[in-house]
Amino acid sequence: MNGVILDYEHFATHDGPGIRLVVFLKGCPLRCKWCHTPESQRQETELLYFREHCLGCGSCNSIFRQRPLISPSREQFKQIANCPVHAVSAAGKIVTAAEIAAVAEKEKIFFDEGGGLTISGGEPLFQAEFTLEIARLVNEKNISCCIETCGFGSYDKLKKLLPYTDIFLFDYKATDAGLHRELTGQDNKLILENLRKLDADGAKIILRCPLIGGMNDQLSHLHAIAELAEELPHIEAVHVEPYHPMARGKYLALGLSFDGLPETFPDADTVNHYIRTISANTSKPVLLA
Amino acid sequence: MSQWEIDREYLEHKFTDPEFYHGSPGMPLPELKTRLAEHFEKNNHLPHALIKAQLVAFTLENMQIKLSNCDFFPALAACPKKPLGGITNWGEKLLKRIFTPEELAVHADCMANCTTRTVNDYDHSVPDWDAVLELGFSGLLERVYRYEKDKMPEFAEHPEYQHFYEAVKTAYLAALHLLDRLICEAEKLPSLPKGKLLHEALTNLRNGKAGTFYEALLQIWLYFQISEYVDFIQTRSLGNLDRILYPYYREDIDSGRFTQEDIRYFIRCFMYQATAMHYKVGHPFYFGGSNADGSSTINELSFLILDEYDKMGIFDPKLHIKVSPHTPEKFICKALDMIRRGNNSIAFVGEPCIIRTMQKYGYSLREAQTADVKGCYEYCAPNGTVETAPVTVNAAKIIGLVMHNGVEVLSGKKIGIATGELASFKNFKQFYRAFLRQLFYQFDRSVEFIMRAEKYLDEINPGLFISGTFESSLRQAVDGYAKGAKYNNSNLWICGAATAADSLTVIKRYVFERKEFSLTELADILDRDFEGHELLRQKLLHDPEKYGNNLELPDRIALHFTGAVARRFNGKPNSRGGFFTTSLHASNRFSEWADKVEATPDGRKRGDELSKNMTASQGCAFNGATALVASVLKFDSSLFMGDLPVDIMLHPSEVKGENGLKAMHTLLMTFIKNYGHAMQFNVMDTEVLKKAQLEPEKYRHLQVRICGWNMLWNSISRKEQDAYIRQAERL
Repeated sequence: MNGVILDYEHFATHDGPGIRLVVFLKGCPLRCKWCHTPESQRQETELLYFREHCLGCGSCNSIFRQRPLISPSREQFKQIANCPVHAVSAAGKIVTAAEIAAVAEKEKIFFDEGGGLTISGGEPLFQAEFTLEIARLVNEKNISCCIETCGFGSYDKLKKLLPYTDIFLFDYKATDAGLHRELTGQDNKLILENLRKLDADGAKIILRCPLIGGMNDQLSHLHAIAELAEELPHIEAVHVEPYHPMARGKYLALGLSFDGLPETFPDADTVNHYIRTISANTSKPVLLA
Repeated sequence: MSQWEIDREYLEHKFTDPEFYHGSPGMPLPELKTRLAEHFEKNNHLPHALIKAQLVAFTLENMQIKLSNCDFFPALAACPKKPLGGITNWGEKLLKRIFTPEELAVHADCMANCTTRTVNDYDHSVPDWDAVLELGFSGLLERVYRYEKDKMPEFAEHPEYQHFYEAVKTAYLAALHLLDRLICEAEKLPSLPKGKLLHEALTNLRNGKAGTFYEALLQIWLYFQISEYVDFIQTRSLGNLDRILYPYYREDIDSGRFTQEDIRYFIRCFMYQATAMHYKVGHPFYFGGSNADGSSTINELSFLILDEYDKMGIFDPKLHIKVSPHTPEKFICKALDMIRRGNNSIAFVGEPCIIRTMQKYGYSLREAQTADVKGCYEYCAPNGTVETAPVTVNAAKIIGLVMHNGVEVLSGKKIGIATGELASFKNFKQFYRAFLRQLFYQFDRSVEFIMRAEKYLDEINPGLFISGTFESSLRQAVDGYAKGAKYNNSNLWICGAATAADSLTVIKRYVFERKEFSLTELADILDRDFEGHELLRQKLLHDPEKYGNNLELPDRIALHFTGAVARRFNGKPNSRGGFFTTSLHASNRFSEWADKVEATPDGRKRGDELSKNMTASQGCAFNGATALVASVLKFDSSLFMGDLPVDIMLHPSEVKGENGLKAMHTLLMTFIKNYGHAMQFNVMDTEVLKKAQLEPEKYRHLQVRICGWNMLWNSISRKEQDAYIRQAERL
């Protein structure tokens, strides 16, 4: 079965337990304002151009001037491939689930102490059948599988993944429905329903909470995270994910604006405040992701 | 100022201040050297061992010494400026005697253009530390007398036996005289606790062996200084300190003689001796190992030593940790945590690999379990091995020799064999065969050279002190550097293996498969150092098909030619009663040789660093640490008894937090359990490195792992700094 992926991250140490191979699937139903993988939002292939690496050699026929460029033609792909230093590249490639499982198998020796494959995105549910096939195949190879999801999709899709998934790294982005819609483009009703259903079905869950200063780091949201962690018995831990500005280059590479997003990391006091506030209201471990 | 600050200040001058010995008893170094030279001229008709023993004795009896209430370890003026340096020149004379001028000219050419390095090596051996501690100088001397008595009936037929004993006795007797001198000086120290302790310890060591933890450290340090700086034989490990010192530690603590704080202070002062010497490649000792039942030897002293090292934030002595599946996770994680905090002068060496490899070569399980780790990450049977690393062949240069039919392109000298004009290679197989022929030729030539030269190692530089610690030497009345040691292996190193593998991959794909350019065109481009072909260079440089990414082709090529060398030489007898082993070790040649290596097909320009050890070429581990380790684990480590190290470069964000530390541990243990040999880390942030370049004064303590040792960031060249930054940028 084919699907579209962005790339792999080898030796990933913060996307599930142990050493993990992360495969980033392309396509996401949300448009989070702080998204740190903007090149994963669309399912179609897109042109990336990293100006700082460009030699100005013209090998690509200056194709980068055509950004944003979605679904390049065969001819355009050739031009992209001509770049000697990969300053222009195509974000997105079609691979089979078996290929992904084979990549994971090559790294299996590192998965002994709890590691494995993490399917991330984008949003894995956006290519649910493909995700299911990957999860099934790696399970056959006795490789642990984690799914990192925003939870926005039909519950049937999530439920099918349950037998093959060791941990769901489940994003929780805003408590207020209106704010959630404003920040991500979608309501959080379905997401919360799915989270509760997953919990009821006994899935192991780690709640992943991106916190962006001035956007979703209200005290009420921090309290709500803790409440949710207390309420749902299968949430094993809360991971706090403070904002980072490292995606700036990727926005610019896509030809998108980075305006309106902070250019700096939150300071240590702010991060400690997040962790302390949530920890104070839940017995579950609250960790910095 | 605290006592430690006062002591440290003193130590900072001990090895580097030219005025340090001013007014101290003994002969100033220039005078000492003159007298040694005169003595040598008068007596150079004697057998070498005897003359050297006399010179060593004269040095020990006359060099300046200095004791202080600020130092638990006496200062010997021979350290670090070796008085015997340049006195005998036996090596040079011998080369002229045993080789023809033509042979020496080829040898010199190959050394000058960095194709091979062939040297007499006295830098990779370890004394029998157990004997040194169990017997002390006086006990070792007594043992020589005992063996001499047994061998006496054969003296008439073998005067060399008598010379050997005489020389070793002279050396050890001189060590006792040195102790007498030191005791006299200690008596002059004010009766402060440190002076009193020093006097008592020196007296005990003069009359017997170490009885306390401090005396054991003092014995080790005195032996080390005498062997390395007077006897001119490098002591390539200060030993398995946590194991050999533990009984003294236990006894001192249990009897109340010393407190844990006292022990910590002794360790601190001991380790800082090495720090203060500022010796480029560092002084190693190692932790760990296995008991006979397979359990780990890591003990509370191991933790204590590591903790003191951590607190001081030093990088010399450099530390080796012998890791087995039974090594306590807590201990390894402590070391890994130090590394990720920047205190990274630590290399991990895998015991499963050592045990499997040594047993394959006929060593006993116990020898393998107790193998010494030495040098950068090498290992050998304990208590009786003289190992040398006399040959390095630069695999990256071999590509150029094939491209020019045996001619070294930068000098125009023909140092290789004729393997054919480029146009004659119709496919990659033919080119690769020529590569192997050139590679074997350089190894064969170097091995033949060293087979002849190593016969005379004991004549060039008799190993008096080290031989005195080896029972096998004493039993045979033969110097350790002849055939006296129980094991006498010689290591053959392959340098720049990944650069060569990547280059061969480019030739296979671009020349023979895609036909983007011909071999002749490629040779022309390389000869011009890619001038006018920067785009092509960038394309080759950024081509992801590189060794160290768990990819089929480049890894297979790397495995094949290195394995071919190993199979050709492993187990072949050397001229010292041992055999050859193979190693994938670069030392600092990956950097030092760079200017002499023409551009290579992987996109590397002349002057850019070669690949280091068996890690990916600089900045080419595109698929991260797991892929790199997976590539290295494809090697059969038992083929490379010399060593097979890998350097892992990580970004701090990859190893932060509990998960990050656990991931480092898993990565290491996966490597170790799968018979990986040695692993070392650099955890680096590009931004920090760039800031350190701009504001060096703010980063005076920033250190980087070079090869088997660390250096301060500010002490490496701008070019080397740039290479580290380029690598870090790829993370």
